[in-house]
Amino acid sequence: MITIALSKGRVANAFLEKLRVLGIAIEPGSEKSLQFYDSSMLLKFILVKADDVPTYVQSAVAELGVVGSDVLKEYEFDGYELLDLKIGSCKLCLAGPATHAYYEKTWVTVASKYPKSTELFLKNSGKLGTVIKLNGSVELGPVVGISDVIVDLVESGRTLRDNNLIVIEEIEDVSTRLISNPVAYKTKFEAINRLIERLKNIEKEILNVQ
Amino acid sequence: MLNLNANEFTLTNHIFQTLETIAKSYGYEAVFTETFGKYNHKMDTGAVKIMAPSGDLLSLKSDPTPHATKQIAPLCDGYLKTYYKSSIVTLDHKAPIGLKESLQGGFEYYGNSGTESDAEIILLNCMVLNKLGVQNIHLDIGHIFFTAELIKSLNFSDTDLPDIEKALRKRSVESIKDLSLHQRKSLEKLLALTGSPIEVIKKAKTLATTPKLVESLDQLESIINRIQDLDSEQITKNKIALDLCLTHPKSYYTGPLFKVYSVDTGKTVAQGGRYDDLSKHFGYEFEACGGAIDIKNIIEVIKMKNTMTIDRTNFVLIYDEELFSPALDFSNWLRTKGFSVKFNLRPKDYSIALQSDYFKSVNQILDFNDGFIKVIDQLKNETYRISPDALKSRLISNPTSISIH
Repeated sequence: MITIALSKGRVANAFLEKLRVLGIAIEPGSEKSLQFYDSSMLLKFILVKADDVPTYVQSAVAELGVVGSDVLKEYEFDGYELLDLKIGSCKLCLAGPATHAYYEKTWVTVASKYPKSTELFLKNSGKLGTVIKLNGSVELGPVVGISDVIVDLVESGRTLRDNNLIVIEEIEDVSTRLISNPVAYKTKFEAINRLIERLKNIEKEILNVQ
Repeated sequence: MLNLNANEFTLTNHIFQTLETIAKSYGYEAVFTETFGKYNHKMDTGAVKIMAPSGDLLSLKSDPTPHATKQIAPLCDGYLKTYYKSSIVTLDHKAPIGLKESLQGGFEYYGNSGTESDAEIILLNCMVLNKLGVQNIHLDIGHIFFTAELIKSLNFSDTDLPDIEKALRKRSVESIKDLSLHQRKSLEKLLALTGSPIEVIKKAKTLATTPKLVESLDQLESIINRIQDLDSEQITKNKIALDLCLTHPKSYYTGPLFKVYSVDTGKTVAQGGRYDDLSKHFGYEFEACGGAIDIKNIIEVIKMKNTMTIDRTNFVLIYDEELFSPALDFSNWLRTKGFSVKFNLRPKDYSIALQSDYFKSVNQILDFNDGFIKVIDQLKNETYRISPDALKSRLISNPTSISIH
């Protein structure tokens, strides 16, 4: 059996949908419980907070994990990133009010859920600044004056527009990754690789079904 | 910096003793590794640099292997087998002050280029782990020369190399998606070279285009066969795999590499390899291989599996000032009978003190009163009153009524 730690919510639902396409049956609604199995009992799923997925995988509680690359970078995940699942693709961006002259400032205050990625970005950009860690509603930062700009995930850009913010710079692409603990990958190599190959070819499988 | 509680310190000593016992039984000699060495930018990546009063740039020991090699180099006139126990300090941006202190113990085998020396080093590390109860392991063997040569043959530009390194480290095909089709396909083949030794060697031979590459695969085959020959207790049986993407953060490795993982915690518990060129840095020329166990990760496995019992103090004897003499006599009597005793004047906040680790870590609390002793047995979770003489009789007739552990 392979245990997969799933990041609760949209990511888990999208991943389980992919498995259903592959013919891996999961009782609809079973994902409401925090721990469930596929019908063949070959896969066990645990639903956890996104930030905890790398911990479950790193400590070998789960052999595989499904989580965003933003979380992996922030966690400094030291295991294997086996596959880009192309779920929840978006961009990590620097954003701020249109009036903010970011490029002219040498010192900026940045609010973000991703302090490590933000610090690295500032360092690589040759900027000095303070990073303020916020756990949500990051867009409010410049609106209420807690920060000059923000670093956050941007998908459609609607939340930014709603708060009169614009993308100043795209930092990197973010998407959901299938991750593994190195030992688990090696000890269950064949089963994991079979699953990876099927996930890689999912587009073909969809065509076959149609 | 390194912060071990009493139990962890006891475990650490036990781990070192186990390593030492096995090392001595195989004729390995202890070697001292100096705390500072002359800074070498190739070998001292991640080391703390210190400017000596003389103006020399020194490095604080971050890796015992170069220090041990430098130490023994003038003495190495043939085969030489050594072991060491050492603390190391490395730069670590995740640590609170940016530095991490850790403990390391390992074996080094000098002057032998034969695969039997690699096999012996790998097996010794596995034996230490086995003896410590870390038995659910996975052993990966790779070859840094094979991996590096194969990558070199694909003509990558210098700017591509960080992505290649990431692809190998993370098993991530995504990192190499922008490379040419030929390069990507070749790397994908390399990434697939992991698993059962026989199958991996068969596949790898199709990629080995030079005699040296074939030779390195033969070396791996020979090491695995020799480990199986030497492993009379079969502690590595069905646990060996080949991983031709295996790399090592230290750049001085030149040949076969190994890494042992605990399957229970998913962490690395031992690693090492061959480093034939390291002695040249110190003006000598001899082959060498070695390997070290990771104390911190081993302690984690031991705690998780509960494979080792820590000796606990048998008693803490609490007395009031007016009963000092009879209490002292009683505690001395206990010690003559082989029990361990903490002897303490009743603390001011006695009931609060009882909740501290100092009291909780003993088996029984003896509250010495006039004419009787109140015994709080923390293992059996019971409390009773007994006269000093009756307790003595009980301990003499049945000393095991007091748990040793």
